[in-house]
Amino acid sequence: MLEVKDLVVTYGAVVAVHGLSLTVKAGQSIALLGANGAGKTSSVEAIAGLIRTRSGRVSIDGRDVTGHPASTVVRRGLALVPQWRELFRNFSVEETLIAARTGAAGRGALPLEQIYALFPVLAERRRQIAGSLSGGEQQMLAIGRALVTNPRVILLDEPSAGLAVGVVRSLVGIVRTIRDSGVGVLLVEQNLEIAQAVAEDCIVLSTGREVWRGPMREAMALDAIRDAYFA
Amino acid sequence: MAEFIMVIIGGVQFGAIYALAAIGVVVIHKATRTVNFAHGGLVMLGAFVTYLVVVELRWPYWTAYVLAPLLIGTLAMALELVILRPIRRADMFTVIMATIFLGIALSETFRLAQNTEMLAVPSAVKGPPMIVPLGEDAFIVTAEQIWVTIGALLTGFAGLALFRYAGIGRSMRAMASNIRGAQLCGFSIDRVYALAWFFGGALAGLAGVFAAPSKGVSPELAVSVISAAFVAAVIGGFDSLIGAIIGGLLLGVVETLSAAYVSSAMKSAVSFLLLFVVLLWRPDGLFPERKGRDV
Amino acid sequence: MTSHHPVTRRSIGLALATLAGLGLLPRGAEANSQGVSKDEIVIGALGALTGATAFIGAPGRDGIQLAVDGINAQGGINGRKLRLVFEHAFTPAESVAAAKKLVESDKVFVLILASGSTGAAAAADYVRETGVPTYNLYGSTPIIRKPFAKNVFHSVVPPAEISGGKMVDMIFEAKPDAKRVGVLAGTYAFPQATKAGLLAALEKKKDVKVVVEEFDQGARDFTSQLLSFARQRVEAVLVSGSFSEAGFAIKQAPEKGVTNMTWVLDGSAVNDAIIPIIGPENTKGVYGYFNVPYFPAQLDPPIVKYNELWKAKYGAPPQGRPNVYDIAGYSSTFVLAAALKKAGTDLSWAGLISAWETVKDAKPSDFGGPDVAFPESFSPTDHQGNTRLGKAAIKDGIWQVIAK
Repeated sequence: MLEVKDLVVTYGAVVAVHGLSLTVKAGQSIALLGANGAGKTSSVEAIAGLIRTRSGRVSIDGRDVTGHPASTVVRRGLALVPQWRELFRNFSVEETLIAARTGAAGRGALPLEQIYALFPVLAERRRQIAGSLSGGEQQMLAIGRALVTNPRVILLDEPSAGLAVGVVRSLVGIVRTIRDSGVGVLLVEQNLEIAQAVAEDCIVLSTGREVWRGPMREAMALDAIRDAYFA
Repeated sequence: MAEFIMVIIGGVQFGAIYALAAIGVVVIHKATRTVNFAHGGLVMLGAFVTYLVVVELRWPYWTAYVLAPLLIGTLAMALELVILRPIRRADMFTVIMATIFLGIALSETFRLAQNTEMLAVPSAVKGPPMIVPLGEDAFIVTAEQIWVTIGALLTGFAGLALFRYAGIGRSMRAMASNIRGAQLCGFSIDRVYALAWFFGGALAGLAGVFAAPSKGVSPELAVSVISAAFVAAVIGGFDSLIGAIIGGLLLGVVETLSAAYVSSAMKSAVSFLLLFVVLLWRPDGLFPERKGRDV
Repeated sequence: MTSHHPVTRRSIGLALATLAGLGLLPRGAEANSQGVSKDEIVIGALGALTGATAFIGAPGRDGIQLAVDGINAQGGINGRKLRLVFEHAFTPAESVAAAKKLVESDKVFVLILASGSTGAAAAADYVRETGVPTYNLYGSTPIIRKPFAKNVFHSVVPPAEISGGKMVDMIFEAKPDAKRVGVLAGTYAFPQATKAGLLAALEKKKDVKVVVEEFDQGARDFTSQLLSFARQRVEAVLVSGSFSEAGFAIKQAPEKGVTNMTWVLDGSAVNDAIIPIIGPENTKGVYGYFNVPYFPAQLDPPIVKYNELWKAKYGAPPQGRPNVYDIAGYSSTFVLAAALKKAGTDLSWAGLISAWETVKDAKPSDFGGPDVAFPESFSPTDHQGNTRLGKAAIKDGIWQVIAK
């Protein structure tokens, strides 16, 4: 279970996130919504330890990971699939997954077969260099790399960005499978359809502040959502 | 012809040492984005460890091959921890200045502690020069030349294999390829940087063991090694280990050929000329790494 | 204003000292006895403690200090103790500055040049101009020797004509029929001085072709020089440079096709640290001269005694120490002591110089030290203390003097 309390993220004098609090339980899926610059990416990157938090508290299954580097946070069971995927472009698919297994060694990393079962395309392309994969395949690899670390909670930062409709559809199925296997999911999404298809609840951010929180269905009717997504 | 072969053998011998030193520079740069100008100082200390072990303590020679990489690797790791870690977020210029002055500090400390012109270290292998017939003529090769050339190159390729295929190499390559991605896989920056400095330092220590008999132990060794390693690394593309090996060999051979057939005073001019020509022809070196990120 | 005070000797002295300090008095004052007090004589020395010639300067300092301690332990000179002020100087500019500082600011009575030829050449003009009694220990360069200067004396290192002639003789002792002789010399001051001496001596040999090759200080790669010797089928090579330069040249010779060579090395290269470079098994045909009758590792009683004294003061020696410069620095200080003793109560610059010119067969045992150098003698027209050289070869893994 991921618990975030009063998270504040600043860049110099600019406050990107003003006191965000949230909880993601096992098998639960929550969407983080908002316009560009609302602080969604800052929030997940701070939770994952990639950027520094100004104040607040982050814990995984009750263990405090506030201020720990990303490498520690991932070994405590929180994996981030970052917005730009951040793949090792000169690594093969298999080597990428092995790297994540090595890095997260000690927390019962998953066998690669399990990843290949979830993403048959990665199994086919296991010898291919990451930089030469299509956008959708790269996204699969980024998710696969996060899953190898056997996370309790996975953070997905706009996984559908730039992908074709067909690919997005299969992505939705995969995220549901992950959620249904008991992993908590925190999803940052621009695409409301996908958010609705995956998440039960959502939190809406505007300029770094939480403006609304509730079931996904009700969110669709909100002005703030309409402004952010359909204006 | 015999003379030409002997010149080439001599060039390859020096080139193999340059290659080994250059690999260490490349490993550290690849994994940590730090250009280590103190590398020559580390090679010099590796040679000094050889002197201590072989001449002062009179231990068998192989102990130098074990102790020098361990000690110099540990020293390099300690230097990273104490001096470079606090300025890791500083700009590149600051870090480069730090490694330059670190190198000077290593050399000068040695100079003050060891007040001799040069410490001499015997060869690891002994034996009379071997005369190899070649038609009417014959060329000569010494056991030390064979040992240094093959030993340094094998060490270089072992380092390359470790970096390319082993787990520790994978963490460094992941860090080199994408520092955020590597962290998200559970690789700690602190640990991987320490590991890279240990690895690069160990290679420097071994280069020192191989260089000690043919170059002697003196602060001048540090200067000559860092300039050669640097030229070799740049020729090779700076981020390619195989490039560093080829660059080192090329530099050794070209230097020796120019000493033999042009003039010995031309030696360093020729090494920079080689660098210039290679960069004109291929601005990213002989083995450029693909750079940039995908979107 | 008229003075009511008697003009004392002291105030005249003070005025003169002030004028001298301002540079208004001609220098070279005959009655100068600076650095001499009731119970002390201050001697100054300069040489490199770091840098490429530290293998000369640092042993020089240690050798002089060891002798000073020995002389003082014997009660000093006519009741006065010696005190050494040593100044580091590596470059020519540093050498001039060090000489000036020692003479003008430290007020030393005698100046010892414990540098190589570079430092001695640089300081030459200054010591001639000031007239300070100067003892040139290691400089073979003609710049400090010619023209003859009344105040400059030379120690165990003879001028290059003498050592060069001796080296050439050694070649023809080993290979009487040699027709092609190589000269391998460094481009810096000391080897150049030797090179001039070698070429002068070789000129007297008929039908001998001479091949000259040079290298820069600190060279480690002798490819071009060795190939030149191989192409011209040179049978013997005279080497002038440091032990490391000579060592790497000899080590690399077979790699470039140079075999069965006779090598004759200058005294500066004759050092046990050369042996690990060449490899003890490859030392056949390597000769040199030595400025003193014993090598540090020989087992003759005087040098054994000397080594005991050295270790008692400085501890376990590093590789290559003590070397010829340790020994020469040590023994020369006793020669200086003999001159100071002869000067008796006339401890002025002029007094010391005339006493020094009458010194005959001075050696350490005059003050209880072991005789590790050839005795030195001087005359008003000859200030070269020693002209003898030992012929040396590597035997049983160490250098040994095989003929005196």
